[in-house]
Amino acid sequence: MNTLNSEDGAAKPLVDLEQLQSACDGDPQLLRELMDLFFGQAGEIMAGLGKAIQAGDVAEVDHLSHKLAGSCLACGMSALVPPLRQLEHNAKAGHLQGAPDWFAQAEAQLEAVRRFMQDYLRQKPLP
Amino acid sequence: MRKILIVEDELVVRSIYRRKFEMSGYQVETAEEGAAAMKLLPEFKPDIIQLDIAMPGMDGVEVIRQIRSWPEFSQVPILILSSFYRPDMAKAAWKAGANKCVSKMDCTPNLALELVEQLLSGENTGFTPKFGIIPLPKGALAEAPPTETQIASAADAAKLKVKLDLPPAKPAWRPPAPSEPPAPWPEAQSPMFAPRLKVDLDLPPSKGTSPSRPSFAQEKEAVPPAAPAAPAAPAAPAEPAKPAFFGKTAPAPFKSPTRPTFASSKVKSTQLERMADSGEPEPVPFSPAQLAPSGPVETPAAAGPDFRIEIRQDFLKRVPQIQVELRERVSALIKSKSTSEQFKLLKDLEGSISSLATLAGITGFSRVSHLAGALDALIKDLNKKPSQMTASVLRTIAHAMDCLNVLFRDLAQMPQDIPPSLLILVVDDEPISRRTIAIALGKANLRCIAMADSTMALTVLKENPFDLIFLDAEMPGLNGFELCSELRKLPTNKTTPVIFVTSLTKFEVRAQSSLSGGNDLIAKPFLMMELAVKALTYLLKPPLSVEARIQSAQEAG
Repeated sequence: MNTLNSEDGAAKPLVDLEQLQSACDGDPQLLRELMDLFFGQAGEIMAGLGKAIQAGDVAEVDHLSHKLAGSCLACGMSALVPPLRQLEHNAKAGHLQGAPDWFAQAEAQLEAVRRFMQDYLRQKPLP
Repeated sequence: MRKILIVEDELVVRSIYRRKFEMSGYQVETAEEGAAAMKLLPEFKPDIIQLDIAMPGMDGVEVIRQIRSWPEFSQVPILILSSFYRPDMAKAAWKAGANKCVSKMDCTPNLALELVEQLLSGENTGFTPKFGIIPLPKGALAEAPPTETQIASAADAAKLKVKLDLPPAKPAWRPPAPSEPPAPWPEAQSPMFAPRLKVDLDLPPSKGTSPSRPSFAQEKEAVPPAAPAAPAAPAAPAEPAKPAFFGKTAPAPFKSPTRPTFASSKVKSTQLERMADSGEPEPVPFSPAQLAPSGPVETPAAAGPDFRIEIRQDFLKRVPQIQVELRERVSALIKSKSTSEQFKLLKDLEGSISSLATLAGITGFSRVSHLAGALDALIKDLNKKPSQMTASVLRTIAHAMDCLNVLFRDLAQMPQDIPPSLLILVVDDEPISRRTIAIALGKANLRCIAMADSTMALTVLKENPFDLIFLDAEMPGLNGFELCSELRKLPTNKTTPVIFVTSLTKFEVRAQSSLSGGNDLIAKPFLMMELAVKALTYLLKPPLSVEARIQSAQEAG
């Protein structure tokens, strides 16, 4: 299901499919290409982000969370944006308070988004 | 006498086509909308139909479906006029049974007549015509994914420089096999803005590469440095082929004495709000000599230059009124607070912009036509989803309007050719962002060089002048602002427009952008057409105003 229960109890979409379709110009092949790019990059960034949090590297957390949030926005991966933005916000403020929790939330959302997109792409075979 | 039915909602365009075809010996009937066309059809029994695809009420695609459902008209050739920036509509028209699609941004009456005669005589881009529904060839209709040239290593960067100095290789292109169906929109396959470096980097050929399109270097040699307002002479057999835009022969490109300075670009970009307070624009005096065709070559048999001059003059008379109308509508849109009001204003604006694109196209004012056409596509997207109208989008619309006003001001004085070859650089460390920018540029048939490493980008910028640069603000190594400050010191790119693409939208970021020498900002996530309009706004803006060119010439003695 493309929904996520937010803190206010309202169901919000995991993926903004309109934004995603717009990003790939409605082309199914481009959509697959973008998803390969996104999940490949997201995996690398999340690994780097985990290490940066452990090492207390505030600048790296700021850089990586900003980078992934930008990609998420471009692809409509809306569920991932809030925890990443929180990590970025805190890092910009010079601290990593609550970072492991935000990171865990981002990891969980990434997994949910990955599952959703796998199902979505399975239902949309290439022409 | 051959009979043509013209279906077009725009009165002026309809009457221009009517006159053109009547002058050429056709019996003409016109309809202003689809339902009226369907009523006329059984009585008039046209030999061919010319149809605008975007009409209020029953749209062109539905009209084609209905025409094709009548056995009597299932074989009548249908020529479609569609927006270059809405390939989806052309594709739908093709699927419904259109025989030929042409971009109305580039369709002059002469070209329409030429295409109609080709269709009637059985010619169809060199293939035996198959009237009726032709299966859509895979990859046709500008479906080709927009290309980007990735420069990821120092070796690539070095190759770029070396290759730039070499005569370019022939573009890789293969002619279609005889068994292949004709491309429904062959014109759209010719990239309007092919980068100069494409063939140099040994990239896989773009699906859009034209067979006859010469390389940038060849184009530079092929065009004479003659006064651009002079009518283009037919090419002598020994001359190199001229660049083709949508099947037309391109005019000699305008050669500005110098590239625009950063400061002058900023001065020229008058603010819409300020313009809205300035009252009626001053009418610009035009002389027939200034209005002489500078675009496609007119064939003497079709019509003398008088017809084209006349329709151009008529368009130019309308320009002040169009300017006022557009300015008022965009100002109201910017000031409006409620969504329902914005929606209504967008609808009104869409109508005005769409008419402008068509009128400018038919009269050969290609720059205005293309910018208005792209803006029309953006506004259509916003009409579908008004929630996507952000401050960034409004700014892009306002800026495009400013650019249209600059183009209007210089309309009669400047040549209307579209720059034949443009070089766009995208520097962003996020691969997704690079790819989406390339896709967005592809909406306007623009291609780019994409780089992830800002330090390497600076090396490339030192050696190569670009026409437009997109920079991510936050990058490792040199950030976007630092890179922009550095490139402003380079003779090669000190005046190149720089647009920051960033999710940072705070005031400080805007200030940093300006302080570093950036020209504009676009917020992530952006609409595809928003970025395309933004790019066209900078690329189609006249290199220098007429006054500045005169001043520059005077300074040069």
